[in-house]
Amino acid sequence: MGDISKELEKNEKRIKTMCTDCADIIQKKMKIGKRKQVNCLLVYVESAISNLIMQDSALGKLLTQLEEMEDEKIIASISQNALGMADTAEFSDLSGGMSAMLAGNALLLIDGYDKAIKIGTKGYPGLGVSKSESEKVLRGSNESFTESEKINSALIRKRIRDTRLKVKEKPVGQHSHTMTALVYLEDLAYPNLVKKMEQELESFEIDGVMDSGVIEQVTKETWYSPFPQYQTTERPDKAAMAILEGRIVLLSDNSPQALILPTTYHSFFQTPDDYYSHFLMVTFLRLLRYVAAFLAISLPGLYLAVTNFHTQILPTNLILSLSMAREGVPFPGVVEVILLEISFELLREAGIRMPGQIGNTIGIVGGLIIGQAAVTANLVSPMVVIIVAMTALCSFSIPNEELAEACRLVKFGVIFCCSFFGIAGFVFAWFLLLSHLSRLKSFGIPYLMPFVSDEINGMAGWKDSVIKLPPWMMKRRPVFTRRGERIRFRWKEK
Amino acid sequence: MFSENHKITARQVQCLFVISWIGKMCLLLPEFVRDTTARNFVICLLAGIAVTILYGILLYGLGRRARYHFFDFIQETMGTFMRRAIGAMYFLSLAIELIYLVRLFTKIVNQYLLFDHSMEALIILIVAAGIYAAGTGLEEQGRMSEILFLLILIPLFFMSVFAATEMNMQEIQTGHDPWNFSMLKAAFFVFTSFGSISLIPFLVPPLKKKKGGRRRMTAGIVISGGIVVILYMIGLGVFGEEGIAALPWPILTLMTNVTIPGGFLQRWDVVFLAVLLMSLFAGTGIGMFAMRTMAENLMECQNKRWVPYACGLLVCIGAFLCRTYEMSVKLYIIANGCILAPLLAVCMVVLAVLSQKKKERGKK
Repeated sequence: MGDISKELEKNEKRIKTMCTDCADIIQKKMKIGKRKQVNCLLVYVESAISNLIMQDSALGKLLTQLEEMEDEKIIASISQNALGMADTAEFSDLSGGMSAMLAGNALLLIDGYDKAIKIGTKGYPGLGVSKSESEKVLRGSNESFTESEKINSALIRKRIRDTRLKVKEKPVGQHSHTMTALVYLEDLAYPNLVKKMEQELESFEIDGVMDSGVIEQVTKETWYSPFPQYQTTERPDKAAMAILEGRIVLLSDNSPQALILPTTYHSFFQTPDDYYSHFLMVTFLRLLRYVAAFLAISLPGLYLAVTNFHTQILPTNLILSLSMAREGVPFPGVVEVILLEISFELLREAGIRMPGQIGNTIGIVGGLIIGQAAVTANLVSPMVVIIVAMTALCSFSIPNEELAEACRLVKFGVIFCCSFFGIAGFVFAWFLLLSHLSRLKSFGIPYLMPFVSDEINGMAGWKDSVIKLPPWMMKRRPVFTRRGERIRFRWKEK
Repeated sequence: MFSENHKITARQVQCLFVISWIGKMCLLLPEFVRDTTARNFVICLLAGIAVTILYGILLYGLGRRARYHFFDFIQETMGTFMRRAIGAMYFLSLAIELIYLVRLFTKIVNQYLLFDHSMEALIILIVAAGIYAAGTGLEEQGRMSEILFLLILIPLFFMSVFAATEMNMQEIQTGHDPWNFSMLKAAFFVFTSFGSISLIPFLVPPLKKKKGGRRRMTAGIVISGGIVVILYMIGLGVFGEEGIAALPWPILTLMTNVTIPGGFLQRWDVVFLAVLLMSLFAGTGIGMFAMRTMAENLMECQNKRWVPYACGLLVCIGAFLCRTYEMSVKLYIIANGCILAPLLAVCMVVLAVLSQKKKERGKK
């Protein structure tokens, strides 16, 4: 027995309740029939059915036919499918109809008729959606966010077909009126968090927001920290996964980068394909990324500490070859390292700004030629070239560019400390760094979770930390999810 | 949306104690064994740990009676004067401990890592780290300790395993001397080297779940003491009784002797020493944070930005005035071990008695 009423108003009320705060779901009321006296309601996901499609599609044609029909005959002909539409289906329960609508179809409800009609359309956008360039994966979707907030929210809706997925829109910027949208799952996200983010967006006045990065800068809790306190992504699947963990995604018009909040240090080491591949391989790769991050910060500093102060720990052969390699180099080790590190940063910056293929060429040619020339001219020793190249390689292995940038910046501090105090300076630098990271929070969530305070979530965080267990063992959602809704996996009883 | 609550978990309390004790205890305890035989010292160590656990339980009970802040509880039970007096004792005790830690750091770094490096620069280095760490809240201290806990304990575990392979079991199997006064003294110093246990009543009110707190605190004492016992036993097995008595820091010498088969490095002492230094940095940070809290209580102000700097300056001046490491050890043993620690213990016992009487009176 279906739950759709013959009274359109009742159905409309129910749909409105279901779709509260879903700015991307459109409910269009119309009058059909020759005398325009039959009320009907068309419900659809905005980006799934554009105006252009409306004219040419089955939906458009159906509506045109209904326009020309006698008012009394509309229900009779629809119930007998007298219009002969192929791609339609009827639902007597509203939840079934809504699910079909969320799959990218239109849902038509007519006053006096107790069924909802699903009308097939072209579905979710594929137009203008390009491949992700900065977050490549070996396995999984290749779709990337576009510069339109509407299309981006539809790309998320395509992955989470649930009316509990809310899209709250808010214009930001006094002159730009840039549309931003908070996308979250109503039953998983902390209501306080949604409220706080809304307040954050209302807390400032600015001329214009040209990219989500502006919002990130303005609303960052610890403004002086180089470490990112929002996770950015251009991948809809990553954003959808974050939403399923109870996090909020902030979309902004003109920006292909979505902001994910709250975030932790560990989130920057996760990639979408971690969840599509075998857990042992993922664990190995995550371990590798952590080691890479450690080396990206520490390697040049450690090299200086060991070669300048603690040579006793190295095997004699290595010390000899190191000193031979340094023969003829006029600078102290620290100058050598800084010189080459800055050259590398310059090459990187030039490579990014140069158009297309020239950028790549600059990186390779510059690295090879300048490195080789510097060694030949006795400006630096070959060992320093290896150390700097290795550090660069490690920084590129960090999956998140913002975190990689922070690591590159911190590296100079470590170099400075190590060049004065050797390993004591190294320990000092890492103590300050850990102390800084332990005081960082992202919307109240400790930055170093799940390595700290994991008791709060029943020590479940380690299952998806440096180690990653198979999905069926990660039964609990992370700490971002509201209490009482933390179970994400259970076996069905046979 | 939970971390703004200024709360700390029981696990974090355990980590906080372990990392603030481990470095100091490994290095300080040999100072106390000069007059006693090594094997008897192990017995003293166990006795000291037992006394510390009992004292910790008493303090934990006091902490549970305090509803908001331990100082308010002291004031309610013993009056304003005693609140200030106990606060001043805590402050002084922490300052002396920090002066010792700073001097210990400079001595070790100068002797094992940076030969003839400027002492002043090293003092400023560790005090700067302490000031930075003290500028946070209790929650952050808890998180920091939790993250350092495994970073410090895992390398120490590996060091113990590799060092244990070089042990001569006969060295630790011989008999022991009869009881004497020096053993009692050593046991007392073991107890005083757990000095920061007196901070436990301040950590109980902000505990998230008070139920597991006592167990975790006891575990913290057992882990720290246990590590020192194990390392000391290994040292005894490697160097023998005479050797261990002659060495200024047997654990550091043990670190220089560790060989890891197939290892890339020729020596590992720098790596293990770095771990111990991290513990000293952490100990200084926690100590400086506690000192700041005591100072704020004495001055009846809160979250003043200059307080950690003032505390740091005080420690710096103290460390400079001490001139040598030996002087700071004397200061620590006399002022902290012989005067302040027993005084504080007496005050806590009196507080426990008075609060119990008050409770009984209230029931009547």
